[in-house]
Amino acid sequence: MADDTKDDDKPRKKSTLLGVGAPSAEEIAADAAAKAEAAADDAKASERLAERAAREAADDEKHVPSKVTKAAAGEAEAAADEAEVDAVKARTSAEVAKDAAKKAAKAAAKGDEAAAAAESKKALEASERAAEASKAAKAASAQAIEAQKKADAARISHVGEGEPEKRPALYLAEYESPEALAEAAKKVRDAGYEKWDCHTPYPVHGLDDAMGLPPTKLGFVSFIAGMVGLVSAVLMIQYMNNWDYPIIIGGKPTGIGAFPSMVPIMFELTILLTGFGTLFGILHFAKLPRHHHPIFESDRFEAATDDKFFISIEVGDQKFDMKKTRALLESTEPSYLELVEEEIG
Amino acid sequence: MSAAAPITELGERSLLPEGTTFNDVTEAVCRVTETKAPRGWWILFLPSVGLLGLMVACIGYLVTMGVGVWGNNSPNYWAWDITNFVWWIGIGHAGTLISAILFLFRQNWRTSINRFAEAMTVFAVLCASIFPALHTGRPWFDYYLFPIPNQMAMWPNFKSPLMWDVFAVNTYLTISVIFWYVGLIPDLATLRDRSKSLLRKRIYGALALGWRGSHRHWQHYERGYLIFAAISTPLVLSVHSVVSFDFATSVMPGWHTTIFPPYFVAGAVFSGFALVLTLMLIVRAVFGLHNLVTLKHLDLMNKFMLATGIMVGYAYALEFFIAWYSGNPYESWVFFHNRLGFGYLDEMGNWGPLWWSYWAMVSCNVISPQLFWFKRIRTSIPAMFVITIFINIGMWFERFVIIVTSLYRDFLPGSWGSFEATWVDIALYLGTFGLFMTLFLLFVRWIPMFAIAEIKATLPHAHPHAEHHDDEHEHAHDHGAEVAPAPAE
Amino acid sequence: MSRRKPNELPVGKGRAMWRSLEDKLAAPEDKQARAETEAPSAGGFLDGLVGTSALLKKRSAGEDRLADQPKLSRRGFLATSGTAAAALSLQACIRRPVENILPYVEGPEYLQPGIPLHFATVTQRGNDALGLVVTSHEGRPTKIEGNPEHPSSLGATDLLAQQAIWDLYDPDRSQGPAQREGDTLVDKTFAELDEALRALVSAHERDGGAGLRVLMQPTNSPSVLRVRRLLQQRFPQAKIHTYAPINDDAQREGARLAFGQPAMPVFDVAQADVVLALDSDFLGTEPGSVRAGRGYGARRSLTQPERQHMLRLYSVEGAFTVTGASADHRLRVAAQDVERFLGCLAKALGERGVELGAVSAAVAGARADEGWSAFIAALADDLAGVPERSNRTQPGRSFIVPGLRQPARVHALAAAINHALGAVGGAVRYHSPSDPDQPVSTASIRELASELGSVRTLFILGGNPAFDAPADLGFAELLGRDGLTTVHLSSHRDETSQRCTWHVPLAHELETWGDQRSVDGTISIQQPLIAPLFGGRSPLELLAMVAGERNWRGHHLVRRTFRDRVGAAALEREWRRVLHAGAVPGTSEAPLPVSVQAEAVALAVREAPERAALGRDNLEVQFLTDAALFDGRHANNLWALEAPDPISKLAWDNAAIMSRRTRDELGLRNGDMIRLSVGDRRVELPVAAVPGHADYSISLMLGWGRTAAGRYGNQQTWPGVGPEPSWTAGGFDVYPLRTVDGFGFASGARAEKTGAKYDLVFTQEHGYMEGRPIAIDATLEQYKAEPEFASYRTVEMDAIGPLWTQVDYSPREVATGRPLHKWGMVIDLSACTGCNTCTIACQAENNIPAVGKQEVKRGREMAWLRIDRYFVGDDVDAPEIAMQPIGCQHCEEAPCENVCPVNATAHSPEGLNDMAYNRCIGTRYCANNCPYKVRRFNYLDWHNHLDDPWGFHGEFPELRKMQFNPNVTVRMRGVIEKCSYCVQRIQAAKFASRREQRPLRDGDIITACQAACPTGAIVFGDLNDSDSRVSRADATNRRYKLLAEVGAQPRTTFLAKIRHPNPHLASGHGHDGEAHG
Repeated sequence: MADDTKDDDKPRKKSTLLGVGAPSAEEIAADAAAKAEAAADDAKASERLAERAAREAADDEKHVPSKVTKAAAGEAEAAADEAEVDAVKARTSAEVAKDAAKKAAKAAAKGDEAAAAAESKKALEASERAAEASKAAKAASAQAIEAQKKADAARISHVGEGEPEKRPALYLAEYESPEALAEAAKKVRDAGYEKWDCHTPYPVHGLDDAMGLPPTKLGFVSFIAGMVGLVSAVLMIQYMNNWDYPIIIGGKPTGIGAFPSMVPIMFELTILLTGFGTLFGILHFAKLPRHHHPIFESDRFEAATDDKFFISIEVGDQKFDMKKTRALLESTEPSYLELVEEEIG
Repeated sequence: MSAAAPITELGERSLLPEGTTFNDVTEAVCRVTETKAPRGWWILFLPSVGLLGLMVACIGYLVTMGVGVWGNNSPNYWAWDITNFVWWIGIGHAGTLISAILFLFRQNWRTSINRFAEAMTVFAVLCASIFPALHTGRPWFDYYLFPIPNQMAMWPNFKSPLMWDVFAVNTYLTISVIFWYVGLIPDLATLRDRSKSLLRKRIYGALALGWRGSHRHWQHYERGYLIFAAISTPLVLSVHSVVSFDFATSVMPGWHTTIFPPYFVAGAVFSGFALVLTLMLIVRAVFGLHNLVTLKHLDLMNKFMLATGIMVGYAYALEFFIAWYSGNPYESWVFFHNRLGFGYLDEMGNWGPLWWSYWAMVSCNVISPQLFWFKRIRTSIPAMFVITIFINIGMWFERFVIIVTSLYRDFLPGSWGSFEATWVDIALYLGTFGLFMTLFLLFVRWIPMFAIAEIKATLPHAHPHAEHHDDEHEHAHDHGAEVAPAPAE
Repeated sequence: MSRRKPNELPVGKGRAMWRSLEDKLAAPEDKQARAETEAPSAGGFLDGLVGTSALLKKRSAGEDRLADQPKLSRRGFLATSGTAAAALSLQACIRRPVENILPYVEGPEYLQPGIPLHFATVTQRGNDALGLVVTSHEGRPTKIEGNPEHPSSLGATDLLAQQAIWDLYDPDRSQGPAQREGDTLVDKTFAELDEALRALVSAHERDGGAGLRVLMQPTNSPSVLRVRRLLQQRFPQAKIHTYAPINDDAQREGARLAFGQPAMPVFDVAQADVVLALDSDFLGTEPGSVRAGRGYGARRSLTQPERQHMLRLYSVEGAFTVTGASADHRLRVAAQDVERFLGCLAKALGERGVELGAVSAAVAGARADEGWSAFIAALADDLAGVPERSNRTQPGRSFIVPGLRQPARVHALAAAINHALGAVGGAVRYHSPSDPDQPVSTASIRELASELGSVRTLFILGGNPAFDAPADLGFAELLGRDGLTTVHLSSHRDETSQRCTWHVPLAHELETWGDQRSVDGTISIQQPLIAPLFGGRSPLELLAMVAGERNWRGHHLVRRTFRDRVGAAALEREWRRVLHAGAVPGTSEAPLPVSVQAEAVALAVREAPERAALGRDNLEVQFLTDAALFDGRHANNLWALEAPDPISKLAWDNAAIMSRRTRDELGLRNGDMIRLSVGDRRVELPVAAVPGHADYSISLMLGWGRTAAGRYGNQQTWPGVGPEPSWTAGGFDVYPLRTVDGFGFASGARAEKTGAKYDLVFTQEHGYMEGRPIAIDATLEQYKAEPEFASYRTVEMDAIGPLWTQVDYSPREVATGRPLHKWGMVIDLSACTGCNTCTIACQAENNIPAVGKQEVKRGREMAWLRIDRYFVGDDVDAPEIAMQPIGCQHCEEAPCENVCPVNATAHSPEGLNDMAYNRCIGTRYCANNCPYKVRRFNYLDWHNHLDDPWGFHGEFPELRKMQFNPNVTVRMRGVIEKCSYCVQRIQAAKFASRREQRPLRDGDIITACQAACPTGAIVFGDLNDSDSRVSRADATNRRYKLLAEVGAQPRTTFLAKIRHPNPHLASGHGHDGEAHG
């Protein structure tokens, strides 16, 4: 893990360099290739989303066959097809750009500036094409999602029953060390997220600050519960042995004069109710028990109770944005990043 | 677990071997529940179930016939029953002490044994509660002990120390179970996540309550754990104090003693540690857990026993001083004749018939732990095994001495009597070992017997500040436990 | 809350209903009558608890009584119905079998369910009769008390009377006649029996009864004597023999010797200043003990030492008896040496001017043992009234009571001395015996045994001669002779029945009519409480059958005798009167005028054999009456078996009791079996040493070791346990050592160890006070010097007081109209002899189970009232004894109540420490915390335990259920129980006082122990009533609270024992020092 972070320093330095000096053709080509690659990935992602939307729309139609769902499913299917095409386009362009970049690099190595510049240009063009295709794919995907949402709405309005639907629930970022986690947590905290969390196999010190959590109010709950115990002990003893049915026991007083004999039970009930207060306080604050949480959809997450550290950011967060959030998490260099989806319904 | 860090200013170090990873801990602990039971487990388990059967049979016989099948008589209205009760409750105390008090005192080494000890507490309190429940003449009316509203408006008598006992023991049992369970939740989640079969996953999953290691949970959880530790500490002190009130608030010579509460608590810790150690040594050998329970742990526990043993010895001595100093003839009779057996021959020419029990107690409880002054003894597995067993025996005799040798010759010589145990007394006592061991072995097999999460938290690289980077090593010391993780530049 | 506080009892407020117009307008007498037949009060249960002044006040205001009564409250209803339910479910107290109940179609006369009836009757005690009052619940006699109208009882009873009720319900009682066929007894009907008897008797008509013999027990029944005369008229040739293994022959024969006529003495302890008990247990096992106990109590219990004169009691005896334990001076003398001792005493008295005439010469050669002289000198001074050296205030107030074990010579000499001391006619009175022809038992049975070869028919009317006849007669073997038809009347198919041709079941004394003449001549009628449960016959009835009476029913016979006495005219009136009162007033006879025949006495004294000194090889055995088993007839009585010997505290067995020195010299330890032989007769039994026994003398309790007594009393291994020696119980038969010549005691005995061990169980394991102020005693002189000594020796916590306001038990304000009671008890240790009567009375009254030998061994005996016996004094071998009855002390600051988690034991507003059995869960914490250890726990199902030791839920003998007092819960296993101050009697007295519309009076409530106590040592009553006996006793300066330093504030207080030693006789007395084992 530690090695990873050291290796990760390199590109960051380079990227800062980019902004300072004039980029070489080789660099431009590489940059273009990278962009094209990203565009292709995006396009692929869009395609996947579109495909899923189409599939879900088809499911919706299957479960709740109606005109609306059928139309939506068709629409989604079409959009998905479109997206697929675009994605293929983008991929091709990206391959081209990559190829160009490789060539540009080779040329640059040979010292052939012109060839390098040409290749670079080619790469830029390819990159642009890829970006366009990606955009188109994204549009198609958006269309597909739109259609799928329609299908969803139609299905929900139709009191449908059946296979659960899935939707993105959270981003899950995995880290190898508590340090990385803490660092990432600070970033997420500073980005202003609220519905997010760290998952650790044991309580990691300092995470409270790193996450910017307010102090827990559990102590207050426990205290109140304890005081209830104390008072109820006094009242119980007084009611039972003094008010309701006083009996002469050993010639001793039954009222407050018997206070010393009340102390042990006052104490025990205080403890008992504090204990219950704390237990239920924990469960209340932690909203446990909760056996179904989207985070469990991730297979990787099983390591959260073993030796891995995770950050999850939920879709429900106000600031959540598929891209920005992803970017934010990526910026923390997780060893793994995943969009976890949950079943709908 | 804010206490998880070693206390460097005390020279404390991580207790586990260098280079232990989180996964090593998980593996080591979980493996026990996931692999087939070793032969040693079966060798222990089958006799335990047999003893459990004996216990059930004895209880059946006891309830059918009446408590007269025990040797209790007049004046020894209590004998083995309450002896066993106090003994088992005392055993339980070590668990809470290890969990709670050591937690509050930031004693890091407790993490390797606290789960174990807490489980022992729960099982010991269960065993203990059998005796007061069955020692009543009509156990089916035991519910009279609880303040249940009823048509006759008959309420319990809250002046009775036995009533205090009811509340103390039930609170203790409840809190111990909760404390134990709360500590178990993250580890059950670990087991859940490692489960291969659906059934295991379901069961552990249900028990883990959907724990997902969320730090927002950990935050409340840690505070809750602290609160549990904070309330368990006075609770554990109070429970044996309340048990001692059974005796101390009475008028009987030998019982009516103000030193009882601290004396009982020290004795409880003493005997509890001894039994923890006895069992630990067995389990450690059977499951090969030498890396989790190291000699360092055992050494520390032995020191504890030495300390509490001396406290107990002090209490014994002080009782005699008071018996002599008070000038109370009944009191001094109990101590010098009933217990020491000095200077008194009965009409048959015998010493006080139970004097030997006092001497058994002193030799086991005061003399044998003195060997722990020597480091060689403290670190010798066979030696400590034998000594802890002696301590367990001695502490049983302590309760027996307090109960029986006080009762059997009290105020009026005309009512004096003697005591002889019956086979049911003995069999039921052995039977509770069956219950204890059965539960304990099931626990060892199916529940993580070490606090996985807590142990992980004590590893050197567990927290951001304690990382072992060469360039940041010096920073780590400056920051201390509470600072946030060091930013990476 | 709407619920009342229990200590604020309800005032009669709400409007009550009258049920009909007749009800409202009824005459007061009718209302009264109705009130008595109905529930205790229309005002509810709790109203019955409280005093009646509120009611009285209302009544005086002229309000209608019924209109102002409160309704039956809910709680009251529950309490009343609960009591009823408890009574009804009595038979199903532990497990509830399916049973049918049947209503009375026609109710018996007098009988109102729930209200016990009391009947006067009488029982025989040797030549005396003890008047009794028996309580009957729905036709079941359940409790026996003394008859205050009867001169021999004066309201108290002895131990035997207390346990007699159990015998009535003995499940092993013979339940029908039987005839011998081969080796077994075969059940027959009464018709067959009557048929056979008629034939048997008529067969003797021809020869005037030459082959007919009747063996009966000594009787003082006028009817029996009358019928016996009829029998002799019918069969002039028949002979009637009399035998009882424990009899007062020596007394009668001694009087015959001294005065020339048979006479029975009455020793009036109340009129004596100095008494010597000469091997006599006149306060314990001998007839007249109740009367003597009353006198003793009156003369020992002193509150104003300046004004009262205290009796001084000397005792000379071998075995420690309760009389010896009560004595101020006691000398250990083996039974055989007692006669010599009396000779020495007579000599010493003669030297002090007591005119013994010819006897003086006879005793001139009496030789005193070492150590006797000082005792004899002081005793003689005291008896003779030597000025300044005697306690005697005037002549005639000192006498000697010889023991029944001693030969007639001793009685004659003692009578002569008493006469010379001026006591005869005053403190010692002689009356003619009921049966002047009564032969000496041993002689009579010897004669019978010798003639038995020619006898054809023998009627044995009661008794068990096969078991208890002198061993040298071989009586049991003689009974089996061919050609001899024997008819045995017996309560059980006992050892004799097993050898007889016919067995006739004997009706219990409470089942049959009879009459008794007490020693002073008072006639009492024995009135049956219940029809014979198994149709048994009384000796009188069987005798009448033999005599040929056509109407042989007891009622007829007794009335006939009574008619002869009072005349036909007065019969009906007198009959009712005597049945009601229990005794015919004015029938006591004037004492016989007697004069000593000194020559005859001197002659007899000279005949006294010279006896060899005792030693290891010449031991003496003396035969003691068992306080509970008597001659063995009560051997199946659970209460008797478990009643500990008053001195040794040995229960469930007898043993060879000897001194420690004798035991040690014989090389024995307690529990070792010895083979004890006299001549060629031997028995084997275990050894127990008791301090204070004469050396080289061995005391043997008669009546144990029965083989046909019944399921509880047989000497046998315990049911189903096998031959483990520690499980055997029931003692050892010592009759085989008893011969005609050695009837009271015999020397020449040898003891050898067999090597076997035997478990003897004692109810008290430790007999010394260890310097603690427990049974506090002082001499009269110390008392006079320091009247408050008792409270000095205890630390009263009153002065300090607890930190809280104490409960107020003083009389309440008139505003509430209810004076509360403050029940208390005072036990006078000075009067207590430790006779166990109170223990058994408590057991009978309160349904206390016997637990069996094994459980006694474990220390689980259940007696609510136990008697602690402490040896005191410096001389280990001749200690004095302090007895202390301990029951619940009803502490005001009761330690037991504080610790009960379920409020099962709490204080009533009247200061009773109440025990709610159905609330008790049996933690036994209360018992642990009781400093007096008076709480008892039902460890097992005790009532069933002896019949069903392994808990197979066998059926509890139906018969025994009939004995239970329905007003006392029969406790199930698992609950604590203890003395309740007989709360059922308190409540009954309150109900009665309320019915009679009067306040409770002192004496309305007599607890069972108090009622039974012969010496009146126990007083119970209301401490709020400053005039009550208990208040006055409690104000006595020698009163102290036991273990006052514990601070429990016990309600029961003790009056310290005052000893009255002779200041001129240095004795081992030292109440400060203690003998130590």
